[in-house]
Amino acid sequence: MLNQLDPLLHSELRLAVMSVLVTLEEADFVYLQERTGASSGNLSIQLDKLQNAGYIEIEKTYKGKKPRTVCRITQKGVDAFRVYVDAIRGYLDV
Amino acid sequence: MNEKESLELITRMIDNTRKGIEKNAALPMLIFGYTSIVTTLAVWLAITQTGNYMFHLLWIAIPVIGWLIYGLAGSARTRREGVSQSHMGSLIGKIWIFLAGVMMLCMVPSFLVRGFPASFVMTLLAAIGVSCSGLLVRYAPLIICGILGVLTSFALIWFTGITGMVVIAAAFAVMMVIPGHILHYASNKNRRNNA
Repeated sequence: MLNQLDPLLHSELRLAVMSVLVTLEEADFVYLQERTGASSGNLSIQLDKLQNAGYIEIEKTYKGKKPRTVCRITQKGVDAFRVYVDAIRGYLDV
Repeated sequence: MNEKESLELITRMIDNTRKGIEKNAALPMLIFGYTSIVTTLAVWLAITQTGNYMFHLLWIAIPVIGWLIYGLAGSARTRREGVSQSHMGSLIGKIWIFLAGVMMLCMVPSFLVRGFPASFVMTLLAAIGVSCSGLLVRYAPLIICGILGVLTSFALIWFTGITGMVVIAAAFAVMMVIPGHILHYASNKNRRNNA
């Protein structure tokens, strides 16, 4: 029987964010926006959803006078991503 | 989004992040490589023309000018592309901070102990840093140029004094400028392919 895909990760933008963060120690909002090509509002909403699920942690800091949002994937996020990738491999039989 | 598209998206995103390492590594190598060469040749020229060994103090220009240019170039890119820190990038950064600390420490005995082979030790440390960075990211040009830098640094045991400075400039060209341009070329090629 095929494993069910995590609905939180089975969304293009959230999956893109997790795919970027899984290979990094941390990334800021501008970097994620540049990588995913998402609008600020949409990215912000999706980051909140991932944070509420405990998949990422968000730190709001200041660099000089400018606010800076830094995102990091959590261990729970890494595990969920791994399960998702394994499930997809099962679907595609790769 | 179907399963195949999911997997393609994951693969593309992870691949882009890896290519980002190539792009980010080129800038510091080119800036510090060229700064080191220009400073070395400036010290060499000043001493051969004037005979005043106080011009050795110009060496401090490498970290000062290097960090200044890197800070300016880096902040322009940060505003445009944001900041990311990979696990590997963080580790490489810590290795370079440690090596830079040891190099600064080497400057102390070079002023106190006559005959201390400071240029050999510092060039060797920089070459080890390049080789280690290459080994960590498994990037052959960095490994090869780092090893060539190590070999070049040994020439400084024989070429001491003013003559040795030309060897230092050559070593920095081999271990920083050449791999920096290779990385920059690879990064531009990736960008063109993705466009």
